[in-house]
Amino acid sequence: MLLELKNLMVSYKTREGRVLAVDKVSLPVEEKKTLGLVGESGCGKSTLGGAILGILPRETKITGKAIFNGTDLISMPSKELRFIRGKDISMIFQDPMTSLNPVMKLRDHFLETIFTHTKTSKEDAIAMAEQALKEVGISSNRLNDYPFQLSGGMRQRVMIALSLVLNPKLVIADEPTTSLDVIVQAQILQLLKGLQEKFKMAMILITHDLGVVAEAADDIGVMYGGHLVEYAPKFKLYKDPLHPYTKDLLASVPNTNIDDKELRFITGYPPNLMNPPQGCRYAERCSKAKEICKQKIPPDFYTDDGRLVKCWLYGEGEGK
Amino acid sequence: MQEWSLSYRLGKGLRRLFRDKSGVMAFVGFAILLTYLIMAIFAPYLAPYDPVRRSGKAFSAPSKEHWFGTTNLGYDVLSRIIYGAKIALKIAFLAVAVAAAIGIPLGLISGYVGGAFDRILSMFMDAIYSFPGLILAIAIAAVLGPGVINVALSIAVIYAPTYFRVIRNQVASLKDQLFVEAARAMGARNFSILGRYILPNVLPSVIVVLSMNLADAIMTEAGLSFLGLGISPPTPDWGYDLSNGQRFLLLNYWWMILFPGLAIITIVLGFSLFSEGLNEFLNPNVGETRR
Amino acid sequence: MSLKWYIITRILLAVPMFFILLFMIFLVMRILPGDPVLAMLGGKAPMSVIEAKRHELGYDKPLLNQFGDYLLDIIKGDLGRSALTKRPIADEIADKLPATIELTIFGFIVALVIGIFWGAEATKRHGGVLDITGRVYAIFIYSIPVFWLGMLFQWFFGVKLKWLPIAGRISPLLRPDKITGMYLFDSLFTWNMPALKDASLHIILPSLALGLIISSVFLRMVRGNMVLMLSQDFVKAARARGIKENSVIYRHALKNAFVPIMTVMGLQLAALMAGAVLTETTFSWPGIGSYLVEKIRYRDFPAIQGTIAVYAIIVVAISIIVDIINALVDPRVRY
Repeated sequence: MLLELKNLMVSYKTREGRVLAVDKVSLPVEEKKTLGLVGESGCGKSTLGGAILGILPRETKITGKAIFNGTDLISMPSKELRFIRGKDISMIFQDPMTSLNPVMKLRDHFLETIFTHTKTSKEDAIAMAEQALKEVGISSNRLNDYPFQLSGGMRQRVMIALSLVLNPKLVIADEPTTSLDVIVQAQILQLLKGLQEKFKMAMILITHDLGVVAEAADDIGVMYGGHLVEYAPKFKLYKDPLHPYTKDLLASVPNTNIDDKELRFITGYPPNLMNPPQGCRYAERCSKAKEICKQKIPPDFYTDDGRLVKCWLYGEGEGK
Repeated sequence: MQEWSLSYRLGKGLRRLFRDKSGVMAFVGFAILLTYLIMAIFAPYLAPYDPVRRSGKAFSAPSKEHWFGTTNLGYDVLSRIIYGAKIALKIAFLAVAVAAAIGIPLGLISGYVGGAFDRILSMFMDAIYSFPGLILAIAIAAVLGPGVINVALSIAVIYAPTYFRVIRNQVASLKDQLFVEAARAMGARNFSILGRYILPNVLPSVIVVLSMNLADAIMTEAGLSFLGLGISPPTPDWGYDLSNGQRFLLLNYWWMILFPGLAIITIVLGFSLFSEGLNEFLNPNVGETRR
Repeated sequence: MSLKWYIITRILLAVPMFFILLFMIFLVMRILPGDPVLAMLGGKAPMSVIEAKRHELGYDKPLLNQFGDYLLDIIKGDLGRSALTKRPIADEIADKLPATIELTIFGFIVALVIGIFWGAEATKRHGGVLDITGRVYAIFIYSIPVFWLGMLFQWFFGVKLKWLPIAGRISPLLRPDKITGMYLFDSLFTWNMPALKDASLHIILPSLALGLIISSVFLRMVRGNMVLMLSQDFVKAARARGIKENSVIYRHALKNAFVPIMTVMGLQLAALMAGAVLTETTFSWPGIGSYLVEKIRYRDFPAIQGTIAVYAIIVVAISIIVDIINALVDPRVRY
């Protein structure tokens, strides 16, 4: 196991009060595999990604553990964590248009990153940058360009190259395709998947798009209202979803194989995390909710084949 | 609907006033301004001596009789400061009023009419705006000569473009908005569109600029009179008193420069604090995005 | 578009601004109700003298002609002759200008160092000590008249402690040979150490007073723009790559905040010039600010008008320089 999250909790202060954005999430990330993290916006999936890297605002409070290669990232002093960021764990962001520094040439983005983490000669560093650009399909003479001279899709390729240049063991991709055109989306996703396999990295793919994880992920974690409600290998999850939210979510995706007359959707709104419900976060919208669901937060139940589900329906004595 | 009642909004405003640091700032600023306003209005009753008559020995250090000491002519420094508030506030208010009276209508018309008229007027206003304010005021004051009205006019010229720019830009963006178009479609005259639909929308920003300009106007007036371009002596005026005090600096008569300076600093501080707080109050969104 | 063309267009665009400024000055000096000739001669001059003076200064021609003559003269570099000394005003100003430039440069450096470092460091920790003190400092120092701060310095460092000279640019006998007219540079170029030391001691108080006052605006502006930049995605992305916090602040955020900062700084340079007039008067610094005030005292209107025109040239030049520097820093401006 490359990275293991244990009881990770993230909360931050706003003017109105404390928000519990991620609540006791425990999750494994296997080596060389892709973990897809799905959920609606505001479910805490992006916050989770930021918490691992320690790039959330200073006011954020993080507890629990994130054990990476045997060391806990959460309790690590920020000075040491900095050496892991960009080298062992790197990140790709949602909006490539704003993620590159507009007044720095591409070359300087690469050189800065390489020199921050390694002692390399300038020639070698440029060779590394050129190689990384080649991997993402961009000609090396683009190194002297400024970000505004590139299209959105190309910029995302550059961001990917930038995150791969030091051969990290884990890449966190936060909605890497969301702000791109549909066709470009598919290309970028393929590229990302291909590179992940080629360089034998692990990847956390954060997205709201079930189509994206279906294509690229090995394992899937489903998040709702700050909770990880289900975790399972991809095929098992698609074939046999356990948590009612996962079931509703899958049912709300247009599917050409099933001849549905109309698209189903989930009624109601996600919970307010400033003032979360007492029990299960999904209880209010759940068609199978029981009395206990509204009273107590369900623990993480593990099935015999190692799947995780956070739902009273699977608790002991409550029937399966 | 109750949420919009006056008392509710007032109460909410007051609560906000003391919740934020900016609210406290605005309150402190307001208190300072009120103090100076009272000083200016009731100067004859508050000042211990006549500010332009010998009231004691020349150059006497601060004492029981003369809290802030006396000048080279034996005038009481404290009395001169109290009376000086009158001149400072008079000129500042007059200057800002004239600046607003020039800048606001021109900005309204220029922004609303648009076209070549707007472009030429904007070019002029931008030119004035880019020129060092005090130097322009010096030039105008030099031509016009001393006196309350003349000094106020010199200062007004340099602040008029501020109002013009603020108003013009807002009007230009407002005039194409739906509610204005709707009014126009319903046959409202240009004049009433300006007065009834556009002016109320731009007024809050004007008020903030106004209170900020008052601080700058006081500063500029002090500068002009320091250079000898203000009110003719012996009328009590902080800037003049400072330049007068500087002549005797080498003799260590520090009270002649310390106290008039502190008067300028506190009144300007009062206006700045007040306008900062007011700004966050009237345009709360601005404050929030800044966080 | 290349940088060269950008600069050429920018200079061409400045021409109308320059003419408008000159026209404005002309308007102020000739059309305002106060009559400069009357003001110059005093109320009791006989009519014939007044007429003769009007004719001598060309004030009896139609206004448009006067403006035309005035423009032509300025383009030729002729600002007229002083009514008082009869010397060409351009020469007189050329003597005084280096002193003003020297003072402005050092005042600007003081403001820049305080503004940028304090402003940037303040953003490292929101609500931290540097942040709070910075905000208090900015609002407080903004309320202080530069001449009062100058006097306070004169009294404390000059009269009380007797550490520093409180007036003038240099002790008369030490004046270095003229190259630029700026004593600090001249004494450095001629390796004249006593002059360098003396000139440095003289410039400390005026430049400190001027710089401190302007620093408040710089500090606020740098802080505001930095806060904005630090919330941008590319800053988050840079942090995610493990870039050092100092590089994030100064290389990424500050460099991007530079264009808005530079633009406002250009305008602030105008404020610096205005502050310099007061500072020069306070410290008897023989620059064009003192020159202007002196000419006003003697009602030498041609000289006043000429000095103001020089300020207009400086303002236009600064605005061009600011835009060129912006283009050098931010590639998006020049393309």
